[in-house]
Amino acid sequence: MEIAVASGKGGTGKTLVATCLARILAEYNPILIDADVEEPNAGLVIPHRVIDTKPAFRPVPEVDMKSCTLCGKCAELCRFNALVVLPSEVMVFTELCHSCGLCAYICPENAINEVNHKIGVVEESDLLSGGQLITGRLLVGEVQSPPLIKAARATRRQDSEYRLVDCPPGTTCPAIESIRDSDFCLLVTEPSLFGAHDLELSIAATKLLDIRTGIIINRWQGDDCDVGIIAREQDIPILERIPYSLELAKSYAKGENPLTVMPELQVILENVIKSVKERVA
Amino acid sequence: MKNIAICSSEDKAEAMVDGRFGRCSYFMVWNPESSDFKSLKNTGIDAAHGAGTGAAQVLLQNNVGVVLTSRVGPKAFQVLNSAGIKIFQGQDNISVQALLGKYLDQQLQELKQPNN
Repeated sequence: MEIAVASGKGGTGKTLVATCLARILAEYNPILIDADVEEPNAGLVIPHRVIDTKPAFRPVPEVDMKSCTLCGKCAELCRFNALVVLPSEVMVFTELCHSCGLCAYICPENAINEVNHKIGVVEESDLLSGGQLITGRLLVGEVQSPPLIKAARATRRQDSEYRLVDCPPGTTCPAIESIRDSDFCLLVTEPSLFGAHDLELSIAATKLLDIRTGIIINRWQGDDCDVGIIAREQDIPILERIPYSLELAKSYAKGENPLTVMPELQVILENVIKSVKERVA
Repeated sequence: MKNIAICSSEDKAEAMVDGRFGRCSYFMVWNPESSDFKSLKNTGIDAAHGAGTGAAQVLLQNNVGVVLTSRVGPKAFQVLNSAGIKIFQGQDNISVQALLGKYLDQQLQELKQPNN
């Protein structure tokens, strides 16, 4: 079973939930995937040992000027304006390219080849609590993260009954690439207008992706705020509420085990796992 | 003689200029031989990315040798520069026609690097 831990708004507690779920499911040797490749941070809060680091690539066009007739078809058809045909050369803007392969496909002279462009690494680690941590790490300056997220999600040292994806925030391509094809999406939010607003966007995305979804309200202080209204309107269950705790935040920031600091968190997340299992079955 | 392109907010020479290169609404292209304007809609205006490179490609196909604009980004600059198209620093709050006049009177400075 693959559970995506996502959120619209950033900083709501995705990594807290994902890493604690990995600790609770330790006996099953879960695979925790840090798909927030622009700033992967799961490894900062869960003890692990790095075993291997592999480069990740994406294809980008390379133009063979010996065959190119400067016909301009590639530039005309590129949706992202990543190629520009000048009177005597073709300029390729790798950072604009979305690796769709259309230019290479349509080139009448077969002058365009797709070559590998390194975008980051996939780090394979053993979790000291049990299981694996797979971390995607985007190179500084790279802007296309979905191919790296795809590579991270496809990486495993051995299979496990439980796969947990710590997703990037938002509802743009990186978030979609992290959530798609999961069995369940946990949307972590906070009881604020901002949290509720972005939650609604995330629910629209998981509905579009046709993925079962449940809500966890983090930093709860006795009131669901607008999150309750959105959940009712959208018919998405609020699975659990994690109480606000300054003590938890402080110790979490020091890298301590949140389940030790807040024992009720263990119960809350065990309930989440139970609810998810019931809903996926 | 190469044409002169001016970034414009509308498709007429009396319109106010648009300061942005990649995301201006129209290019007013002036032909120095006929002294006529022709308008080109900037189709890249709504592009999520690559508006500048797309706009530069369009100008290349329209025999443009000079661009008058207030702001141009690094990628568009690289294309225009490689294609030998000169960029002159435009002004804001001025009509297309008036800006062209200033260029013809040699009152505009050539842009030697991207400024956006």
